[in-house]
Amino acid sequence: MNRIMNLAMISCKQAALLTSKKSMDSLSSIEKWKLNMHLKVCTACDGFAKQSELLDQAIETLGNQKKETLITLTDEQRAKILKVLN
Amino acid sequence: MSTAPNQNANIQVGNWFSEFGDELYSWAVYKTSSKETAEDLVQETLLSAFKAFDSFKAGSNPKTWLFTILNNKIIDYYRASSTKKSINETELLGNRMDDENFNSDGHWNRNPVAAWANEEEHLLDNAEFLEVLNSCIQNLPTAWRNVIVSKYFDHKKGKQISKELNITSSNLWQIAHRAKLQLKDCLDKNWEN
Repeated sequence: MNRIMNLAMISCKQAALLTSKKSMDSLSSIEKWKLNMHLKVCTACDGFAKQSELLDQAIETLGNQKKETLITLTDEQRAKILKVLN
Repeated sequence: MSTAPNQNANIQVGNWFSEFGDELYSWAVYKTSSKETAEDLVQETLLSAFKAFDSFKAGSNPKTWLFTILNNKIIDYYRASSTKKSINETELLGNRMDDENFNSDGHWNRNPVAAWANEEEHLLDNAEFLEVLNSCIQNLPTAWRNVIVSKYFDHKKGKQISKELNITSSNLWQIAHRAKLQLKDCLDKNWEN
């Protein structure tokens, strides 16, 4: 039992990295288990994980907005870019 | 009297720029989150279009052609942003992020949950908050920024991103993690409600 507990114990630093990995990619079954065990007993990391999801959503929302926004080049920018053709 | 081919290409590409310049630029800003980089990429696109003008088939769509060139430039830029050298240069900042957030036992130095995270529902509709987030993203080191943009703007899969940036998966997770810690830190400092 002790050995299992030791295996399951990860630090907050590791838990935070796994939280980011989960969002970027996916976790292996063991990683999922370790992270969930940790989040159950650690309020700080659980809060970080929720905040991290919120941050993901905010970045996605920003991305969707930017994708639809047409930015008009200033005359100055246009002139600068066009220099390459002269 | 016919115009010299070079001059013809010059005028044509210039006209296309007048017509599609804003769209090309907006796309480049969206894909890089950097105005300076976007300007450079559009400029390089014009230059390539000018040089390859003879390969443009009359009757095909110039906008599509220009966007193809631009997208290739963006891929080159992504790859160049994540060379070993540039990744190493961000290592110091990365280590600092780790040290600021965690003590040597791997515990948080302070409560990681910031006040802004408790406003949940309103945050995503808050234009000012998104603007602060936008400038935080713009200020990330280039390689980190490209990871964030590829993942959360473009919804690419981790495997595809590591391939495009030519980095290992564990490198990718590490960068994504540090970039997010940095964004969190930037929001903690710059967002007050």
